[in-house]
Amino acid sequence: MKEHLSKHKLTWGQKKQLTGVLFLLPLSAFLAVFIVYPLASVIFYSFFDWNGMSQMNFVGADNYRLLPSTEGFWDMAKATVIYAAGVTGLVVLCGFLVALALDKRGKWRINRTVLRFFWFFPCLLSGAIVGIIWRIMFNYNGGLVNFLLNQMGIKSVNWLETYGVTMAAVVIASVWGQIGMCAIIFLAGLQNIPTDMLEAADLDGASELQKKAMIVIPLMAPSITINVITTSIAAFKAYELPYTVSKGLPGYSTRILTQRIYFYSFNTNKYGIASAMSVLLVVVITLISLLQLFVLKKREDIY
Amino acid sequence: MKKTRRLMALLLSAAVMCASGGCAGKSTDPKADQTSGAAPAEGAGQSQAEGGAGSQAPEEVVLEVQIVDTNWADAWNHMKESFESQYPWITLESVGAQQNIDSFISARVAAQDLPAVIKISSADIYLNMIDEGYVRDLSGMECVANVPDRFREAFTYNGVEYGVTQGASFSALYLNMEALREAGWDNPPSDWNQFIQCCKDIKEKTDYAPFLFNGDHATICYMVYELLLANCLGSQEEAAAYQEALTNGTFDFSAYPDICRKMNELIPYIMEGSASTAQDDAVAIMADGGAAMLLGGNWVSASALEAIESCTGVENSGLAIFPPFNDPGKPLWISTSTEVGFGLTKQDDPKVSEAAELFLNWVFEPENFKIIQNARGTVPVLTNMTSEQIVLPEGIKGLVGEVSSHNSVMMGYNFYTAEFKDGACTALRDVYSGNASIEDAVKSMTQLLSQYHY
Repeated sequence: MKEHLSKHKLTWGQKKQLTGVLFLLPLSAFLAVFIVYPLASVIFYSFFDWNGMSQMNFVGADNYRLLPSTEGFWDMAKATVIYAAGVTGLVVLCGFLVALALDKRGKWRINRTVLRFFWFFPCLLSGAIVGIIWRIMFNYNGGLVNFLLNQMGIKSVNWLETYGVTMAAVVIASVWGQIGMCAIIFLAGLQNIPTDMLEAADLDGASELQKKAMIVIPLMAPSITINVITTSIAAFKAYELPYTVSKGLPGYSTRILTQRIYFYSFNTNKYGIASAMSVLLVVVITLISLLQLFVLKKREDIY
Repeated sequence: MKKTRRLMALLLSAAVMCASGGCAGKSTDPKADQTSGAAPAEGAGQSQAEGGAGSQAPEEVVLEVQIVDTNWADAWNHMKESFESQYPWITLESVGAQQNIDSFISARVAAQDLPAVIKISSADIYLNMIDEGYVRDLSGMECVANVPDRFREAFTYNGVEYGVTQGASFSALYLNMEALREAGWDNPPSDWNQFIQCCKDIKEKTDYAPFLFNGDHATICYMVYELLLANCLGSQEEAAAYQEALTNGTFDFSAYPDICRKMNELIPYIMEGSASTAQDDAVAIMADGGAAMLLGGNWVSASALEAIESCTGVENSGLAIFPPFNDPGKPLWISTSTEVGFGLTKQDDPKVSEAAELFLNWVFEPENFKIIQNARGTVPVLTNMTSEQIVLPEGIKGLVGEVSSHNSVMMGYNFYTAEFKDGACTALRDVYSGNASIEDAVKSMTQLLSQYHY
């Protein structure tokens, strides 16, 4: 009997493997139910004409083929790219500047903790709330932004109905909402930079600008990679914040593709087209993320 | 150690069993109390007879209803108490009150878990639901018996009477008469030429913007165009043809060049920002004295007129009129509509179906419907409601009586698809905000309609 049991006794290596599997199991199950299954369903639905209630009709790749001819598709695709590029660029740039200002070795150390909270606070708010706050502030009639402009003797700007300007307003609101998280990641990166390198640069007589350009920025490459990828993914799939700021106006100039996916799903019940658009967006986000990863990793390797 | 564990497990099982037994006891006892204790209501006896339950007490039913709107949410508890006191075995549970109704219903359809009583309109999702057999036909039910035929027809699709409207709505123009007087107008304008002249005088002689509307709301955004169009139609037959063509996608918007001319006359007087202004913001602008005239539906009358009075500090300084978009000497056309209605969904459980039917019939009894009407101040269509039961805001009382004496077109949202609505309003908002010409918008709308229609 004992022999039989000892035969089935797990070795240390097997136990370790089993523990690993058991630890992975809950998350894997969660991912399977909430990510893999919905994703597979969306891909499946994208080949059907279906309103959520009727019989599903297989239409092959028709939904994909018809996408470009749907109303405003190219305008919305353009808006999505401009929005994502604008938000990613500004969030990363401003996040980096904010992190430099809040870094403990920085010179501007006025009430650092308060300032850190101030910059991080918008990240605690939901996107819809951030959007509504900025919509109220950008209101042409009685909005805070125009009030301030008028106080400075500048004429009111129709922030929510002017081509180009509205996109700027949406990007500003999004940047304000996301800058804190980006700054926190940069701050962590900045605090990991070895002080001896900066001291050596000081001894060599390097200026502040030279130290930032030659030491700090190159050593921040991993943080830049993380921030660029996460911010751009978030920007491509943003929905509530841009919608609450501008409702997609004027024309389709600030209407990003996620808003169209919602429109097709819940306003017209064309789940097939909505699914095809979702799949397209997933593919685009994946490709852009891979490209970013490839380029930025290459840069990380140089340093 | 093992013994302690076993003991713990036993105790836990016993506790769980006791708890579930107790709950079961609780759930049955009040039913017995309620059914035996309450005085048998008229409807209760009827229901039992219909259900063939005989002398047996009806089984307890929880009825999910999605009919409450934020503008009468305060009155819901009164309605619920009143109904439950008459039908003690039915418990009403309001759902989806704070949510976008279409999204809420979409999610419930996906979950195959529809509330028994729902808000319903002619939007795509409800027509799909009717096609797929999710919605009950109300024809023959008591709740529709006192609704005029034209309102019943508006809620009939493919032979299914799918809802009962909460009331009628119409377009109105709310005037700040103090602003008009400042511009030299003691009386409101009565036709298009006077209206444009009035706008001009307001712009030149006062600090008010002449004309405002909440273009953020699709119905109002289209209403500006719709009123111009309505007043270009020569006869009721032409209006019927327009509505039919709008439904089947053949209407040519460019066939009415007068609309473009009038729109071009109007645009300089539209308050900047109107295209993206929400209803609450529009009311706030009127209260702040930002604009002299506000276009809206009758549903905004109470707040708009109150805002004007609070702005001027003068009692009755707000006046509601029908938008005078008619040419001089020609009859005035307005746009009217049914409001969102209430309907029933098909339920597997016959008890729930029966309870839902009882509730809907009960809601449309005048004494009960007045709970909703009084809270909202809108125009009811029930022919058996007496004037004592109806409460309307002072400012529009006069208009309500006149609605039927004017020519009218049905508001566009009764006929167009979600895609057309979205595309047309996008084009029109560009016109209102000066980004595009009305001629381009008209071309775009004609093309959109031919592509997206029922």
